[in-house]
Amino acid sequence: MQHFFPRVPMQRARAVATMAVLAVIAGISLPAHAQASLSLTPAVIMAKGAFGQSLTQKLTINNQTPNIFHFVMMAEDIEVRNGKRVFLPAGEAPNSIAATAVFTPKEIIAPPNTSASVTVTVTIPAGTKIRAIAAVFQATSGINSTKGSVGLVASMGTLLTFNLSSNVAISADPVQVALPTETTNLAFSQILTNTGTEPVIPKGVVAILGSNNKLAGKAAFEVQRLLPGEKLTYHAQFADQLKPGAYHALCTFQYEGKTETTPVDFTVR
Amino acid sequence: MISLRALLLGSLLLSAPLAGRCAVRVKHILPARLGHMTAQAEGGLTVNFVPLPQGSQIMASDGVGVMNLGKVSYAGNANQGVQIQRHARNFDVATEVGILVGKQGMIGQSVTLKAWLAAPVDPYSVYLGDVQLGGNPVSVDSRLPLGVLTPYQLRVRVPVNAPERKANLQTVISMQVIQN
Repeated sequence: MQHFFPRVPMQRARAVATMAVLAVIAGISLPAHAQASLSLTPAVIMAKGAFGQSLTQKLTINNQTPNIFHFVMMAEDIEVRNGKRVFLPAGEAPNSIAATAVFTPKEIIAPPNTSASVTVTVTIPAGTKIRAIAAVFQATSGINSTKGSVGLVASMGTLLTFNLSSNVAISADPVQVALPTETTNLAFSQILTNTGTEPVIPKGVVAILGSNNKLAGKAAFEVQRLLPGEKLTYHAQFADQLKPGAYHALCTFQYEGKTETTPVDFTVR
Repeated sequence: MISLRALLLGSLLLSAPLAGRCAVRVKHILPARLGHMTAQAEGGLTVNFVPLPQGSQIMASDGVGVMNLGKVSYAGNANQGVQIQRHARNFDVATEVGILVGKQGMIGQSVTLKAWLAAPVDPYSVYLGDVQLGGNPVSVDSRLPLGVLTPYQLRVRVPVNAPERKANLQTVISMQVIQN
């Protein structure tokens, strides 16, 4: 008798069956948004170069929903004013980078279960103070609301940052310590300001030293991007418990080969 | 005896090829300086509108959704998950919507959330959180955490003298997310 399926050893067949069951379980446990989604890649592009140079990148929107999306491409400059980011229409800021953005194509339609790509080319105007732009897939359709309803439509943009010089610097405020309670962890926070002209992503860690100067623990600060002029609070939590006593902590941030360290003392009772 | 004029002419002729070489060299340098930048791309974004237990039902898939607020009226009953607050000159129809950007488990990063109305909804005023929405994008949250389901109150303020024929609100809110 001839078998339609090839014979496999019993052990291998069991393994295959087990994997199939696991795959089905994994499929069932996937959240709904993992099965049907509208996604954009990449979320961020970090570029390095010089004034006058250009950058060409491919941006892809992946529509795994049952809806048809129509997107118009647009670029916005991102500036920091009074420590906060503001988005400006292309051409509004002097030496606008967004105004140089060329999208190919300028509009796309993404039918269900397809992906569509757009290339964007920007050229850095000489002397521009702008260091970030957003390349946005602006949804102009995707849903029709009916009477008595509010439709919600998402647009997504890729952040593009530009490092154009070696003028990288941050200033650090004193470290604030929130002592642990029954319901909260020991927490550290520190305000950093980007005082240079280039974007930075400081990576910070706090090292906690006991009275004997031995390492009692460490915790990482959350990672956040700082645009020139931007001011943000960085947080770190220490999840373990410290014995009562006096401690000395060193908060160290590293960025672009530089280091910024701030000490702080505290006592756990 | 060689005159000064002849000496000058001779030196100019001799230096001409050198000047040409300099020009060629400049030509070679210029394109390199005006070349392309280096770039590093990372991550991806997804946007989900999620119904909340205390909010209105959302018929949704990712990236889009429809919230049914029902018929908006001062005296009328609200749909499930929709609250009506009555004031002297107007009343508010409010519900909650959950917004989830990125995948769960992406801790410490954030996006800027902007929103606007696709078309005017006169005489209504629409608020997302505390921010009134209009025809142009406004920042609703400059630090919306990635991977965290965040509830927002959607509130529609209706003047009591709004005509009955406009009691059925119909609009689309566009939301834009950009990673910080």
